[in-house]
Amino acid sequence: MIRTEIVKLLVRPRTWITVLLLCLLPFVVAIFLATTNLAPPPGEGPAFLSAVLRDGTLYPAAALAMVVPVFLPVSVAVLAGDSVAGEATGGTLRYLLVRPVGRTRLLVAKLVSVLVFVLLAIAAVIVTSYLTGRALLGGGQPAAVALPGGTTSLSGTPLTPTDLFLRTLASIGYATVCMLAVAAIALFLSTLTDSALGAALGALAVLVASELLATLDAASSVQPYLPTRYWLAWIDFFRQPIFWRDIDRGLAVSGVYIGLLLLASWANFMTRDITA
Amino acid sequence: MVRRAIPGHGWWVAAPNLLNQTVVRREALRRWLLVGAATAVAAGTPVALRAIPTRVRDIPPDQLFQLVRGSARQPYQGFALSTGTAGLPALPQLTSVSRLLSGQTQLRAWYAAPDRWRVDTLNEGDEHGLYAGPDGQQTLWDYGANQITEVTGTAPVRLPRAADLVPPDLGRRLLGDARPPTDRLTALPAKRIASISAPGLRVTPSDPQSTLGRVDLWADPATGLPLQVEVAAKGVPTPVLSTRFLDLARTAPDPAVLVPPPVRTGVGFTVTNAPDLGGALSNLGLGQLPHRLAGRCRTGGTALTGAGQYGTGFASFVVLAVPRNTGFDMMRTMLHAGGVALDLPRGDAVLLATGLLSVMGVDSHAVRRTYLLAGLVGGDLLHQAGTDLDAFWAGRPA
Repeated sequence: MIRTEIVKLLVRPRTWITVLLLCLLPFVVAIFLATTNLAPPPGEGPAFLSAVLRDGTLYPAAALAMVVPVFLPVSVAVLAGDSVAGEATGGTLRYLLVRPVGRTRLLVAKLVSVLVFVLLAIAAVIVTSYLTGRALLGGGQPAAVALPGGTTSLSGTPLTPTDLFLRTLASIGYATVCMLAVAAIALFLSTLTDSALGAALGALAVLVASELLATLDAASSVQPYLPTRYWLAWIDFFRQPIFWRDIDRGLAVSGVYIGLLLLASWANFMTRDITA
Repeated sequence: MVRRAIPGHGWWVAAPNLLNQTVVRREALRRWLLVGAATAVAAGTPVALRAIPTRVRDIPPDQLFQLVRGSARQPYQGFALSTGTAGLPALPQLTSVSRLLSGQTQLRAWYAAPDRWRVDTLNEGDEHGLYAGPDGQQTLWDYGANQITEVTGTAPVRLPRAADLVPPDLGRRLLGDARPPTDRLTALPAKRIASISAPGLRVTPSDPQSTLGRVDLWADPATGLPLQVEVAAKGVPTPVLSTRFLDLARTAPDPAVLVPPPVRTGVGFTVTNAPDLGGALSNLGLGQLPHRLAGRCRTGGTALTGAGQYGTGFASFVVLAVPRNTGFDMMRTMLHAGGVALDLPRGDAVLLATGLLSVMGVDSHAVRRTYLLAGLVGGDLLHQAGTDLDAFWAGRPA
């Protein structure tokens, strides 16, 4: 079942078009930066973008900062929103369940296929932005006279290529968990309605509301529990020492959303009348 | 319609899916109860943790006051959040200072001893570090500027910086300005801060000229380390500035953390001698400042020509000479932010009072110099100081 869903995901043109569009944004930004040599000042624009002109090896991190806040969650919400409701809309859900397949297994398979999409999309963004960064923005500082050069962490200490690789890998893992929380919201809504668009828009409405509340001082009491509150905490992997506080909280909050919403999806889907 | 035999009754029920649906509904109900229970546990855990009552022994306010003042040797490492609501506009050249009082500042601190510590100011994708070394040397790291700056020696005067907002530093500094029993000390209910039950202390300044209504402080009862500090203006219930630890370990940091970033190719590096800053001010031809302003004696920066502190305790204020163009920009910004233009006999002034902090820009036509006055004092006092400063320069050569 899981294999079938993954194959279905991979053979769909829209999967690759989405991945392509996700990769396109950092590519276009890199072209602008390289041709104008004009990066935004620190604190403005996506994280790390101010530093990529002096060190192109940081461009994958900057690219991640570009796609994580909006584009990646939108694509995940659309995909996960479509997972069950899309089958219902297309009239295939009934036939899918005629097979000797449990509904729980179907839900798990749908979630795994979303997970594969997230990993695929982030990996594609990281690889293409790394190549773009190296080609258009340069490969970091040359070796220093007294100390080895390399990428500079946010705290000023140099990062070896191995450090940079491991921290980027950890960032991918963290962003994937955050996106799984988005997928869990959309998947739950997808079990409630037969409209894939409705499920995706519902998930996006939740995220927009969360982003709004995250900026509102009056809502400070609920901010630590908002799904988007710790989305950019992966940046803390690039501090020295790594600042684990927000990363830990982000993983915990995302974990709770994933657990509860998958449980709710299962509770609803197990007894849902399949009419389409 | 389903017809079923009820065992022992021998008759058929002609009800539509009655028993079958009940089983399904019961299963659904059981599943949703599970979801509800899991949600309740997830939502209730933080609330329950917050509701755990604080258990702390009573410490008399004057004893806690002394404990806090003597806590400078206690090592710690933690994360603090400072929130300022002073509503100060972003003054030219002083944006970093006004931001401290009008926004949130995330601080990561490692403190081994008074002369060995590090404070990082965190922003999204940016970081500023300040390292203090045993020989009085301080190193600044600015990620955005990709710059390391070494400052040797102690500056006679400096602007407030983010590291000043770490609760222990701010708490000890404010309590250092308090003069009990003239300034009243009272106990506050204990609070749980960074998992520590902390007794509280309120200092109520007695000086009528100070805008400071109260300083509330909660400290670790074992070490006296301030964990939360709140500063409120007179007559205002909500604090204008609040800083608290969200995470804290009362242990010495790893010495490696206190080592500044290494100087290397591709990273900017400059060295500044702090006493030279005073010399630089003197060389600007800013002229001497008066010994008294608004009835307050000059108490700080007396060796400097362009800067000075007047008064003591909570009602002190500072005077700083600024380049004229910058001064005009500041005065214009203050006017746009609701400042009041004042006419002085031989100059212009703009006064901006934010409730807690009063700021005044004074341009003396007589000597063509511009000064910035600021302090936790009322606008009237600052207005008087500006008038005195203007009168001081009258008749002096430019």
